[in-house]
Amino acid sequence: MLLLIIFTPIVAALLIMAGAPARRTALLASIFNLCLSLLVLAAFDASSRGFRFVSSFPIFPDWQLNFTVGLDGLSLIMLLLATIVTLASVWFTDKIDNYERAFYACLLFISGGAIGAFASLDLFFFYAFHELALIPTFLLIGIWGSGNRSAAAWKITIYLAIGSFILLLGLILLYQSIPAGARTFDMRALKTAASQIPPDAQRNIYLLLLLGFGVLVALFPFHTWAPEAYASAPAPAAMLHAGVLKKFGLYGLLRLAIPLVPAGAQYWTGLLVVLLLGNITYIGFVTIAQKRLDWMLGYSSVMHMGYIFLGFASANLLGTTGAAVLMFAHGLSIALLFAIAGELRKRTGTLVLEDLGGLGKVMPFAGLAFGLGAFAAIGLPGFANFAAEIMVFFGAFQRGWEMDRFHCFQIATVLGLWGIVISAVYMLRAYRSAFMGPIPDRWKDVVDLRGSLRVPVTLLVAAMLWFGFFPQSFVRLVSPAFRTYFSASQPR
Amino acid sequence: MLLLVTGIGALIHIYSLGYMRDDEGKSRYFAALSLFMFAMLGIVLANNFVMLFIFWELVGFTSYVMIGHWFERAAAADAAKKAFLTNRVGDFGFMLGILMIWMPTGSIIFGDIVPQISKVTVNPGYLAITALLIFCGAAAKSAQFPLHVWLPDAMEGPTPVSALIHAATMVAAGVYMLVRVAFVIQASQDALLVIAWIGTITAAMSALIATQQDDIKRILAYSTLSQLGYMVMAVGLASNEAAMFHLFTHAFFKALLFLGAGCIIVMLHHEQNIWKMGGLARNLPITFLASAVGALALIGCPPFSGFFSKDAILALAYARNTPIFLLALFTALLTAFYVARLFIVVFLGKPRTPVAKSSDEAPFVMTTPLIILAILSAVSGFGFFAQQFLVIPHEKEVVIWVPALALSAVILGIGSAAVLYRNQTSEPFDIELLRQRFYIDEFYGWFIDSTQGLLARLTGFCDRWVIDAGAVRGVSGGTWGFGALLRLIQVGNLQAYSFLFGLGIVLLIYFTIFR
Amino acid sequence: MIALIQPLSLEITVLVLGMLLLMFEAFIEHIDKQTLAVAAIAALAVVFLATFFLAPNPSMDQATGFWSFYTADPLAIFFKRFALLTTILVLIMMIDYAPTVRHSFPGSAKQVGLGEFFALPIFTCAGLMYMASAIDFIMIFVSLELVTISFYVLVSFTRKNPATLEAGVKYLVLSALSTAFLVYGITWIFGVTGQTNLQRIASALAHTDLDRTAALFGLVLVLVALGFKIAAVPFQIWVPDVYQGAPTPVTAYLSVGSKAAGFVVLLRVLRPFLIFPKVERLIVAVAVLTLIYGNLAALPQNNLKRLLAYSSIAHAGYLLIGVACIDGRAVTFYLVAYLLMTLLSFSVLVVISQQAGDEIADFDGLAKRSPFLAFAMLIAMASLAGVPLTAGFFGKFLIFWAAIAHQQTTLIIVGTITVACGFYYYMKVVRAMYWQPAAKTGSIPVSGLSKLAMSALIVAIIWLGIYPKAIFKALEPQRGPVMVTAVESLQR
Repeated sequence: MLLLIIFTPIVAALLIMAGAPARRTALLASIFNLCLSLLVLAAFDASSRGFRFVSSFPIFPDWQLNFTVGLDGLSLIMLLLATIVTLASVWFTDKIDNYERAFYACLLFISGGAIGAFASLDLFFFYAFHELALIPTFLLIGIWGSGNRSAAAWKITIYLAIGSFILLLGLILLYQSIPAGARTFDMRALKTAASQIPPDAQRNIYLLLLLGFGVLVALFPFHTWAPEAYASAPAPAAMLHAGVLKKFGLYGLLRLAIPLVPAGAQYWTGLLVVLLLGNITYIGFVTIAQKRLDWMLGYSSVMHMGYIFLGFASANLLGTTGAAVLMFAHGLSIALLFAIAGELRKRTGTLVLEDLGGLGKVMPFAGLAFGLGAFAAIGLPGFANFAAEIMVFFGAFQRGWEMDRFHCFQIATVLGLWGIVISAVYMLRAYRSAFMGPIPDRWKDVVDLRGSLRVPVTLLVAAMLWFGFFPQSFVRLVSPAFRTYFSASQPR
Repeated sequence: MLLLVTGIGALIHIYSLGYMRDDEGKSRYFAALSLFMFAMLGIVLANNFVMLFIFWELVGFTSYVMIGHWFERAAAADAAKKAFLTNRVGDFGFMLGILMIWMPTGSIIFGDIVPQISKVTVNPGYLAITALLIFCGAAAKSAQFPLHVWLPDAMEGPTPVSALIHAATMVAAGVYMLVRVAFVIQASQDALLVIAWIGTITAAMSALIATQQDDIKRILAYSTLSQLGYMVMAVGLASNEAAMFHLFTHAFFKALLFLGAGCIIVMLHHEQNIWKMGGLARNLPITFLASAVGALALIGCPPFSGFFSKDAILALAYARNTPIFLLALFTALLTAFYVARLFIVVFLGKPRTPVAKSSDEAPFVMTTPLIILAILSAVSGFGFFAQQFLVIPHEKEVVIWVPALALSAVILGIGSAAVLYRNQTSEPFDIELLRQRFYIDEFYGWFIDSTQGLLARLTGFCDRWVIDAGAVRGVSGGTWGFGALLRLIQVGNLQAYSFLFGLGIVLLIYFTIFR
Repeated sequence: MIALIQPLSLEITVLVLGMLLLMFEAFIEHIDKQTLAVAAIAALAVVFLATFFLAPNPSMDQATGFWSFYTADPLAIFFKRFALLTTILVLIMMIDYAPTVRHSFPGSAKQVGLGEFFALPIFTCAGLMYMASAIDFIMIFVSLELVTISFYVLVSFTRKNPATLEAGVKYLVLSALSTAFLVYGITWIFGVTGQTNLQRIASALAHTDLDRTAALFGLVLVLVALGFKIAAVPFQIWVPDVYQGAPTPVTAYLSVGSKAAGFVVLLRVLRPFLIFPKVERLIVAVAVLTLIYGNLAALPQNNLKRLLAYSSIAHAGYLLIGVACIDGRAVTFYLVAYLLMTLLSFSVLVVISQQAGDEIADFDGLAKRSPFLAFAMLIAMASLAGVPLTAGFFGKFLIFWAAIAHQQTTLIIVGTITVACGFYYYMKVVRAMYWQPAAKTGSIPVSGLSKLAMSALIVAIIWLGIYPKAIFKALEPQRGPVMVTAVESLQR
């Protein structure tokens, strides 16, 4: 079943390249994938530990390298995110003039890569699947992008290539630090195997992994590739990349770095906290300074990564669960926002906030959708993002708390909380500039989103609302996996 | 509280049927209104901090939607944004306070915290900060200084919205919340003192500003601010009963006044400047009578409800804190002054414009809620009525001074207004400071621009030019340049190549053999 | 009952084949030269198959003939197959290239000169096969010369083109220079140890009362020639000009065949001298310089042939990392991957250069004109850059694996930077093909045989990227010192 979910997009992409009708095949494949993942969700038994739906094929037994896939709570929600956003982004693809087939093929390859990476239980294929998305991203931004697309495509590709390479070095070092007899590529067995790595080696490994994954997630200061790339990319590509692919780095940290080299994680906590505060506050202010909607959204997605990192750094069950749920929630909200922004660009030809205005009058549906997305992103209760963020804040504040003074994490929480004010400032400002206010003459004839485009929007909003009102369903899925990480001493 | 919210909410719904009859965003309006009721009731019924916070934010969101109902007007759009952002700042403090109380007591449920409160009181400084942070949230929601700036602008929304949200329910939520979590706040004397002073300052400041405003809704907005100040003052003086009592009565007469204003506005075709009204007592009799009741209640004139609740607070202040009492008394005087000014200019005298002259009474659907509210404003102060809903505060001694002083302030205020504003056609005084609302909005604008705006520009610049162009592009450009240099080695000349070849060999031998 | 073949007969067969071709070409009047080429391909394929039926060999390096000059150990057999495969693919390219060759020959007879063009690579192939088996300096020298001399002719074959002539002269002079140093070095080593057989040299060097400096000096001189062959700094100066000037199939042959044979000889020659620590330092230094030079100088290139020349220097650098870590398996796998991807890129280049030229700009809009060729080039470039799920990635993976295991930090850091550089210049071609608008329109004809070859290469690249076991199995039976060290290093 899981193999089917992984290979459907890839097979569909190959079929499209070979000549099948592009949009129809892509849509069918995405809908099929979504249904399958919902089935998996329903069939998933959250109570027992360990991985479900496992299948394995040996590739290189000497090194314990097999093609193994399986799911636990965390990868399940990532899978769900990937399939939902894939469907939305495929649906939102407009009519493409040149190389239509290649466009859909690229989207599907990215989707397949992300799904494969999340479902993979083998270190090698975990890495390899993610890299599958590298060249399609390059092509998507370069061929069908807008603005300074050439430079943006170069930047993202080379930057991410370096990041992935550093990650690869970290993974190799991790593998080699394990004593010879226990070495394996299987992520299930790695936990016990990795416990034999000495602490100083763990520090180096964690640093490499943090840097590698950090570049992939746009951790400050390695973030400059993200805003330009998202601004220049066509909307479906931005949706997939910002919503799903970026989460790969976070997933990797959660799945590999933190459980396998905990001494290293502990050692570098200070560095991580400083960098993530850079994400929240520094990038927050940069976002306020943006004058174009696409740049603002790009920077805002970088900013929100800071919250997820805060959850990781807090190293307790509450914070980590919050971070995991926030990965899901943020993916949905940013996908929605980029989708509407793409539609705006298409209909008005510009995304400079000063030039837009009053569009709520002629595009009520888009205005509503963007408003919901914006409020979700800033953490309004009722959406999944709030539930996640509040868990992150509680978890982060909890760490190392003493009544007498505020320590590192409490200060970090304060700054992180101020981030909710910052995000409200830029989102509302953008919303005000774009959708509210008197409408200039030139936009009087802009057309709203039509019937078929309303479906993916509704899908995204529904998912956000559902998990906003019932976050327990997620927490139930994800907690068992994390409990094993934090089975040691816990303040509360 | 529940009855208050649902009761007034119901009346507003009925009123809105008439007010919004011709509005094209009707469905949006009623949807938001219902959503607001949901959130408000959530606040009232919450038994733990997180639930409270959730509904707190939702109330902020729905008020954003409703203030910005006529979003095509730039003023409305900006007002909505301002309201939400100011509330967000308050939420920041509130959440921080919640976190601070959660850690020592281990719970967010009110019932569970109360027995554990000793864990927090151990550290008075910590407790004071926690209490003040929680107050921060209430300060934003109830528009206390310095987070009061959103309320007057929020008048851009439809009048029923102003009545419901900014008179009766949402702003009262702040006070309600403070009363709810009194176990935290009342444990800290320092926090109480700060709260009381903030309430007093708010009350006095907004009363001063109200005396110079010309928009009917603005006057009422500042009046709300002032009365909220009274309520917060009462909380700070450690009497929840007094605060809730005033909240209760205030809800009725303020809603009444707003709805009355709404009738006037609609019947005068959306005119809001009081100097363009006049003599409406003849043309809108029911509105006139109902508003009279409301005005008298607001001023604190016996036997209307406002007298009893305001008196309770004044007595409290007299007993516990003399400077505050004096300021509160002064504010009562001002209240009487500006309300009388409003009343005289709007209802008495001669109509100043043709529109005012030809106006009619509002439709039945709009006047009925007025009448109901008028009756309630009249009787809700009396013990037998209010006791059904609240605990009536009573001081140990009945000091005759307080009501006497209060009454004299009232008479003085009405008298001076009558003298100054009788038969005027335009505003005779022009106190710029008050008219410009103490320039607080301008100050905030400047402040935000020079801190947040500056930081934003700075970081934006840094990101674009230092990190991106400098570091990232610098590295790639440098590499490229180095590569371009290297390719120059390929000169194409065979002799040169042979020479380089030999040179390489020599270097290799040197480094291998001789080093 | 399968007749078991003697290894020596392989080269003899090939030599005889070459001579037969020449005679056919000389004495039979009206033969289509292409038939000759096809016949040669078929014959070589037969020899290739024959390598699977060889008489078993007792152990590594045990001489089986020619006064202990020659060995048929698994490494040798592997690289014989390598050489045969390379030659087959090059011959296919030469068939495509034939029209250009025809133009550069004066004379009315059609297809003049083509016979030699097809026959010469076969002699070169024999030389490469001898190089793979050579374990004695004399044999190394002789086989090296056989290869080099055939290349002299091949490089300057289309002599009407002045660039080709210039390339030929440069290659002749510089190669002669390097051979001179080779012989001088051999003399020195012989002087010190009294042996020319590598195994006996090793045992001789084990005696500590030897003049180490002299032996080292001799080695350095020998390395000059080998460095020339593999295009390592500082002996790479000939590469860009010669590669660009030579006929494209010859460039491909030089790039792959000559380099691989050079590396085999290098591995064998270095083994006795590894007891000197200076040798390892020397290799590391050369590797660093080669990596930097090859990758950085490639960045500004606009001519694809020249770019591929620099890229071959760069890949020599990566291979040298493997040599410095004494990991024969990594080097071998990388060479196989290198064969596949380089030959694929050259085959596409041959087709395009017939149509337009060999600038990168000539590839503009190729995706529209011939999706198949563009895809083939895309796979080749992706593999050269090291995108996962291609053979090139696995090769780099193994190389860096060895580097981390040996803690060669400098090499790792330099390698990371150069991988990023590689992405840039390889993706330049992808960009041209997919983004830039086409200068001309109209499809490009590709012969059936070429299409078959290219498809086979594409499949092989992806197959090896996912399932490298095939190659590893082929290397398994070796238990010689080179291989043992590699396996040992993994288990440290």
